[in-house]
Amino acid sequence: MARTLGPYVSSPHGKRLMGKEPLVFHCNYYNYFLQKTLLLDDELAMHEVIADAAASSAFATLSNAARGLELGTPDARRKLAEYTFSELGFGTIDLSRVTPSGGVAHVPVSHYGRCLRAASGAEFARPQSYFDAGFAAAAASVIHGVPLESLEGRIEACQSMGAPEGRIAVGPRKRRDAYFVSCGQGGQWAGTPVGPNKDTHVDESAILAALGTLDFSGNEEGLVPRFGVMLTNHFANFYNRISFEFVHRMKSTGLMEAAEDLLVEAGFRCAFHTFGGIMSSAEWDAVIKPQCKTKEDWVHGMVATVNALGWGVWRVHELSAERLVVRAYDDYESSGWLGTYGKAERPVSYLMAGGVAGIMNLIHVGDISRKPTLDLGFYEKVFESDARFFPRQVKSMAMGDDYSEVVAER
Amino acid sequence: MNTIGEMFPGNMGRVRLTRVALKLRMPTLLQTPPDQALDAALLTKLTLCLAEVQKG
Repeated sequence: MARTLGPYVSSPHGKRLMGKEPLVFHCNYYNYFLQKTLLLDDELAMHEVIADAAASSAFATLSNAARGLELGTPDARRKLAEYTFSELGFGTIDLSRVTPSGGVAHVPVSHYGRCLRAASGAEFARPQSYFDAGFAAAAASVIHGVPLESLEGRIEACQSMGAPEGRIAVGPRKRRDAYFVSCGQGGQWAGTPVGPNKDTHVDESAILAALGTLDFSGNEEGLVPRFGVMLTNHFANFYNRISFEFVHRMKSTGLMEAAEDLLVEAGFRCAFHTFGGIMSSAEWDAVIKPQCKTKEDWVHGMVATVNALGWGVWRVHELSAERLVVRAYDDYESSGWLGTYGKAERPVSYLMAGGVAGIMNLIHVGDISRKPTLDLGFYEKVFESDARFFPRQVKSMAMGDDYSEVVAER
Repeated sequence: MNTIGEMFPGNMGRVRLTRVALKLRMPTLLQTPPDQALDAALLTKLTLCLAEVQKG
């Protein structure tokens, strides 16, 4: 499918950019459990933060891409916005009825509206498409050259609540607080990461080359069904903003550490479904499984695959059946923190922590090599096991270390 | 059910309890001994909140 898009640009340490914004792959399960956590406490007004983070990240991507492509007309910029929404797996969006003074964006297919239901296991109590609302506002700003600060998107209808299509009303911004400004690539470590661990039969470069041949573009519905999940090729700074602002807003409640635990738990879900789906996939069977002679090779193979997700460079530093130590160079959470807030006082790599423990739980507790069904029952079985692995963040690039390090132990 | 441990069993229960504690802004819930009997009003509050949390 030929789409007018900002080009994908590779950047050091496993990053991939569009419109100068780093992209990271995440699935509908992570998107659901992260958003579920953020929306728990109505008084935090995190729905506003989610929409604003989407607007800021989308605005940066679309405005940089439009400038780079020298798109001189509103129609050309509208197509860029609609194509970008579909390319990255967010669904399909029709912005033709949004004028400089506002209007309604139609969302016939929405990742957030439609695909989170598979993860929730229950009907929704509230709409889920806050991302779409922010994206539509940013698109209107870029298409018509209207300041982003003057616009906001409001959900009129959401597929998560049973609507046949999503509708976002774009109009004057009523709130007075400013949108945050995306930090782009954010903080970057100037050094060179160590190479892949050699104590394995797995060849990371061959895995990355094979993954590089796969098409992760959104299909005709603007969705990316892969590995048994619905992927999005999402804005790293969207995740960073909503996660970090959530922790910040939780500080005064006496529940900040509990909030952090739930962000790590969203990482467990991410690992369980995305990593589990990858390790159960035909692609794994064809490319990676033949290289795996031991369970340790499975760990190395999964870590090599993570390095195709835009999350930074992960390296296995230490590995046994009882312990995994992963070092990440320029993990996207630390990069985003450094670029937005400066040096951190505590580790911020929540997703990484959940992911590292999740790998060990899938391989050593759940025995993913037997291709179990990745449903809630199996998740609970693994999660309830006395043998399960817990993560500890022991080093943090956001705190000034050269890398972030997570130790997963039973 | 009249204790935290009975209402929120196991590791999954702990995650649900954490969600409930966040939603109710009750950090003390996370320090409550799992076998401590809870008063009826709190039990009702927790039951209602758990039902809300378990919605999508």
